[in-house]
Amino acid sequence: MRLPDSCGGSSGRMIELRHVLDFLPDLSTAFVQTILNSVLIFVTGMLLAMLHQITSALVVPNWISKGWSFWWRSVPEVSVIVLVYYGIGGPMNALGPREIGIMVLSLISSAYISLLIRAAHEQLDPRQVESARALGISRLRTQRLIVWPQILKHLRFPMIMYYADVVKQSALLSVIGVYGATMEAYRLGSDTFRYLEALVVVAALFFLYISVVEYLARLVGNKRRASPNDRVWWDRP
Amino acid sequence: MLSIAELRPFVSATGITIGVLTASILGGVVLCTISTFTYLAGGRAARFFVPLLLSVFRNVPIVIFLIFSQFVLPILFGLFMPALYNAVLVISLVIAAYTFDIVRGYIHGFDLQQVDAARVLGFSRRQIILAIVAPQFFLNQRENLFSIGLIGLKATAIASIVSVQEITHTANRIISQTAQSTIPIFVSTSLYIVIGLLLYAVAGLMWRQQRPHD
Repeated sequence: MRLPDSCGGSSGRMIELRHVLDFLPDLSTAFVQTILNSVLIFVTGMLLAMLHQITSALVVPNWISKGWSFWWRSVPEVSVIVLVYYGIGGPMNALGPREIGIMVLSLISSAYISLLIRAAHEQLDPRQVESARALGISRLRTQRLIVWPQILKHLRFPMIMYYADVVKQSALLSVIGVYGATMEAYRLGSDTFRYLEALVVVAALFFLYISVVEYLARLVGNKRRASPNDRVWWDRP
Repeated sequence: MLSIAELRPFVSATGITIGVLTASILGGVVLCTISTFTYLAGGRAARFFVPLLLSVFRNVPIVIFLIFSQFVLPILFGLFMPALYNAVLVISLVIAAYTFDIVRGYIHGFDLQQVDAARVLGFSRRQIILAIVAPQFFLNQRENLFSIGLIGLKATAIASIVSVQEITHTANRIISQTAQSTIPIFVSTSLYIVIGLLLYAVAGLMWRQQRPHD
């Protein structure tokens, strides 16, 4: 369906650099807030994941622990954010949208980070722990000197990559009106009818930031990205 | 307490969610196949630009693309697409971007000796893809493909932002109409888990079918 011109439906409108430059300061400030939110979500998620690991090792049955992880991984983030914010009253009324959003995304992150920690733990050779225990090293020292240094080595790459996911997830907080880059782009777009410029700027900010994070992840994890010069089986004569 | 009639919209919402997810997965597979062949056959320029283009869809939040396709595409091209089609288009692109990353990694890590053996036996490129590369891809990457299905499922909920009448949108509407939250939240989250389990079952079925080729 073609829109009438009075609705802004004239095709061929191009992006105007003037508006891009106008929006850049506001959107950059909002993007910094998005990054702060994502760091907060990531750190809280990590702490909750540690708690989850400890409780599942000590008291909680394995099936409850797995079910908890599966629940948070299967239910869409935006669905939980919206339903918790609009649906649950009572003590949640005392919290603002930012707190609720960060809490929900932290819980979801904790499920994913728990999985990453478990996968890293499974890479560890159990004989190392048994040897340490046989040598009389205490359980705490075994964890501190043998287990965690190796787990951290395996965790570096997936954790940084997951942080990139958290940054993208934090854009969803705009759904409940939390101040951030997406919310600001939407506001600027509706105020000035310049959605194109506002969204292009915010998309570029996300793209650049996440590309840098991915690059760092590859650098730290010592992973090489495929180069256009690499030859694959298709190229063989 | 909500009556059954008040929860009836969830039936059509589930249908829409599954429909959007299925259409997006199919669209994603088509786009990923096109991207893969362009990547393989297009020379150095294609090997640089195809991953770069698709990384845009991987690195920018889906919500931005949805708002973009809903509000900006009509202004740019004067064409208005219903929100449902917009959602399918955006989710397809995102699924294609994620799947392409897995396919590319698989292509670069594929055992060259198997290809050499097939060439010696007189296999064409098409036969190598269909008989050797693709079956192993589906077998080895089952978990990753399931994860992409979950990403697609989660993306359908984001489509509620542009008023696609799927499960989250319906739950939110029922909450605002009836001021009752417990049952809509329970029903909507349960539906997502059931659809997630269905995806898992489909992935399991694929794996069982592929197993004899292993």
